[in-house]
Parts: sequence; structure tokens; C-alpha cells
Amino acid sequence: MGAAEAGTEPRTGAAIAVRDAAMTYRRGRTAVDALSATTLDVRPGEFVSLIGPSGCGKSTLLKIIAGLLAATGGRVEIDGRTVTEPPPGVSVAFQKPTLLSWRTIRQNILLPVELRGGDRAAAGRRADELLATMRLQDFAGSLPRELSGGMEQRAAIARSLIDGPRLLLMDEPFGALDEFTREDLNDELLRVWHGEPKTVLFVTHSISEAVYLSDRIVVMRARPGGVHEVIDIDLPRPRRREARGTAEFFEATQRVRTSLEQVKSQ
Amino acid sequence: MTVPRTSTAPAATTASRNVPGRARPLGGVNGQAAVLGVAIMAGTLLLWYLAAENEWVSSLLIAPPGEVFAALGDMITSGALWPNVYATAFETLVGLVCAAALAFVLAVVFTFSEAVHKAVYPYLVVIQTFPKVAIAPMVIAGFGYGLAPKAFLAALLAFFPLLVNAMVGLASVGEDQYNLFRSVRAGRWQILFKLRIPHAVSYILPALNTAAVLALIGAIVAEFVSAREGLGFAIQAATQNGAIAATYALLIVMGFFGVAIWLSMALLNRLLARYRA
Repeated sequence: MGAAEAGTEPRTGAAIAVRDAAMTYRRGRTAVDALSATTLDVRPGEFVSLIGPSGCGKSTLLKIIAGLLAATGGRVEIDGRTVTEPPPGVSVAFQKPTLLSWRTIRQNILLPVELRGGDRAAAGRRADELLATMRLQDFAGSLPRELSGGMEQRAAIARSLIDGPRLLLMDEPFGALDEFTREDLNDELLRVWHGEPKTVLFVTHSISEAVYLSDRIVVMRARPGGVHEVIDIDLPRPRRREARGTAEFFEATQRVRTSLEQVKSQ
Repeated sequence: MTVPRTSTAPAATTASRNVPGRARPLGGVNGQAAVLGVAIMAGTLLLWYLAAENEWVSSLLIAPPGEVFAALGDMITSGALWPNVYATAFETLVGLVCAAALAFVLAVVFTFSEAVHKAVYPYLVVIQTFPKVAIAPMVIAGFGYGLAPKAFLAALLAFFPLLVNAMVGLASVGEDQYNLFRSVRAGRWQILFKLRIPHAVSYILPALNTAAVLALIGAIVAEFVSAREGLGFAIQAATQNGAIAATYALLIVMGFFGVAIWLSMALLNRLLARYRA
């Protein structure tokens, strides 16, 4: 895998290689396998969703890839480099917006640049672009408490995009939102992804969301957590809202549903 | 102006969360509160007057309001009051600032080192459960008769609530927020300055209010034991001379100290409004 060209390549996204990654929690004498030897490859620029019942280890896997959690077995490589700490060029979006309540929306979006260092002026221009893309330009100077849940989450997405990550890890970012807001944000996310290609790994509970967004869907099983099946979604891109009503879309959701039923009955 | 001491500023800020620009109908809650506040004061004065005039309470214990206000007026016009006010205020402030600085630094050290935290904290709990007021004579003996013993006792009383709240505030950062900082490869100092400290402000502010009142008590107790000026000294002197009216006048002055503390905390809360929880 292209470790050598990782730095020189334009931003087409990072490659993820998960090799027998495992996570065992020990509590006294009992050991719980949150994730049992899991292997998974994600190609540069690909949009992959992780779906599965609670306890299937999808958030655990995401945190391991993000370098936020140390696996108890196996390893994870991003662009050929083994992950031992949060790697550069990787952004994480959480289920909650996780905005800092004392910073304005614009200041929140700029936080990663402030912490990592970099060109402030260029980052400021990019923040303004992202505010416009996420339709938040009128709220640049507002505090998070003045925004709705959907707007807060849009700000969180803008923050995760501020320094052009090669890999975006999203842990159920739209889980707490109503259906309409969620579909809006799905479209905005796809627009951004088409605009500046990057690899996205997306954890979700929603079948239709996973089908609408993904190139591939990884269906995971629980106890012990791991990969059950990987389903290719061949719907044409760019996808528009109308695609949700087509027979192909319905057929794809049925395949994912069937796979999830198998997981449940195991 | 009457300021209700019970409704502390932090409680007020949390209550008004999510209610930007509350509607205030004419003669609404604030109007009623003003009327009620004046009524309470008038009632207290009347009861006080009657109790003193009819000797419901021994004249050794209570002076009529007229005499008390006359005594207060005397203190103000003669200028005898101000050195005492200044001394107590200065001792309180020095004690509070020292306590806050030490509590803050210690809380930061604790967040950086679990081992230091576990080793030192039990001793602090022991100091906290100490009847600190009882050691005032020893403190005076140890620190002499100037500013030091008063500021020390003020700091000793104010220290613990500040430490506990600073510790909790610095440590209670959400897991997601912490992970967010880690994911952008922030260092521990960045996490301290950009996440922990701003997060802790809403914990430290209410503690500062409590600590300021405790520091005042500490300073006055130290003055009781040994001082040449200060409100505690003045009350002590007035009581020993049987000047009941002067004693009450000084208690009223102390009440204004409380109001001053309350107002400065309200101002501080307003200045730091964006850090509220």
C-alpha cells in the first residue's frame, strides 16, 4: 500500500487497513469482547458505513482507527502507517456536536487550526467558506447555545472539515436529529465529499442513511463484535434526494435489512 | 436598595438559560419584589423600634434604630469608620486572592498528576475538618500582629471550597470534548488552557462567592483576637465598652460588605457570562 506517496498525493483520501483488531475489556475475572479479531480494508476516497446492533463494536472500531483507543490485539494502518496515537490528517465527528459553549460558532470551527497551528488567514477564509456551505454564515458570531441541534451538528461537521482531512471518521453524527434535518445533512455531507474527495468512515443506525451515503456498507454482528458482511452499494453518483424513491434504492436497503436480520437471529 | 442575599448570582444565571430576552411585563415580578423588599425592611425597622422602645428585649442587648443610625452617622462624619473598613477589606482581599491562587495551582497540579493528588488530598481534607477559627490565637502568635495573620486566616477559610470546585471543574470535562482535543493532537497544556480552564470557570465562580464570605469571616475573627484596626476590632471594642448602638451600626456596615461581595460576584458573572454551564 502507498505509504511512500501518502504525503505527495493530492487529497484523495487515506487508505485504512484493519488487521485482526480486537478489543477486550476486563472487569475483574470476566472479559468482554467488544471487538473480536476484525479485518477490514477501506480504499482511498471511499465512503464506507458501519452498521449493526448495539454492542457490535462499531464505535469501538472507529475509536481504534482514530487512535483514541488502543486495541488489545491486531493493528490498524492508515496509509501504511501503524496507528499508535491520533494520526495527522484525520478528523473525528462525534454523535453529539461537542462544541465548546464559550466559543462562537466561527471560533469553534477554527479550533483545530488553533490547536494544530497553521496559516490563520487562510484558515479564516476557509472557515467563512464552510460557514456558507453549511448555511451558518448568519450565526458565525453566535454561541452554540443559541443554535438548534441541526445547526450545531452542521457547525461540528464544518469544524471537522476545516483543515482538509484525508480521512473523516464519523460516529453517528446525525443520530440525534429528526428525519428531515438528517436528510438535509446527508446531502450537505455528500456535496462536501464530492467537492474535496476524502475517505469517510461513517457509523450509523439508519439503513437508508447508510445506503444513501455509502459505496460499501459493513454489517457488523454483536457478542462478539465483528464484521458479518460487506455489501456493495452500486447506486449511481452523484446521488440526489429522488434516488431514495427508486426501486434500486429499495432493493439495496432490503439487502442490508436481510443481512441485519441474520445478525440478529444468530 | 435591597439585595436579596439568598438568590445567589450563579443560580440566577442557570435559571435564565434558554430564556434570552425574557419578557418583563410592567409591574411584573421585579415590581412586586421591590414592593415586598421595602415592606420587609419597613417591618423589620418597626419591630426593632417597638422591641427597643417597649423594652421587650433588654437594653443591654438592643439599641433603638434611631440611636444606631446616629452612631453610624457619627462614625461616618468623624471618619473613624473608614480605616476599619479599609483594613478589613484589604485583609479579606489579600486572603481571598492568595487562597484562589494556591487552590488553582494545586488543582492544576492534581489534574496533571494522579499520584500527587492521591498523596496530598487526604491531608487537605484533614485541614478542612479542622476547626480553623479555634486556631486563630495560634495563628496570631505565629504571624505577629500585622496583616499576615488576618490574611492567613481569611485564606485558610476560603481555600477549601475554591480547591474542590477548581478540581471538579478541571476534571469534569466531557469524554467527547477530551477526545476531540486528542483527535486534533492537542498537547496537555493546550487541553488545560483551551478546554479545562474555560470549562472550570462555571465551577469556580460560585465557589468564589462562598470563599469571599468565608474570607471576610476569617479576617474578622482574626481581628477579634488581636488587632488595632478593622471591623472585628471595632466591634470587639464597642462591645467591651457597652456601646450597643455602635455595635449594631458596625453590624450594618458588615451587611454592606456582604452586599459589596454579592455585587462584585454578579459583575464577574456578567463579564464571564459566556463561560457559564
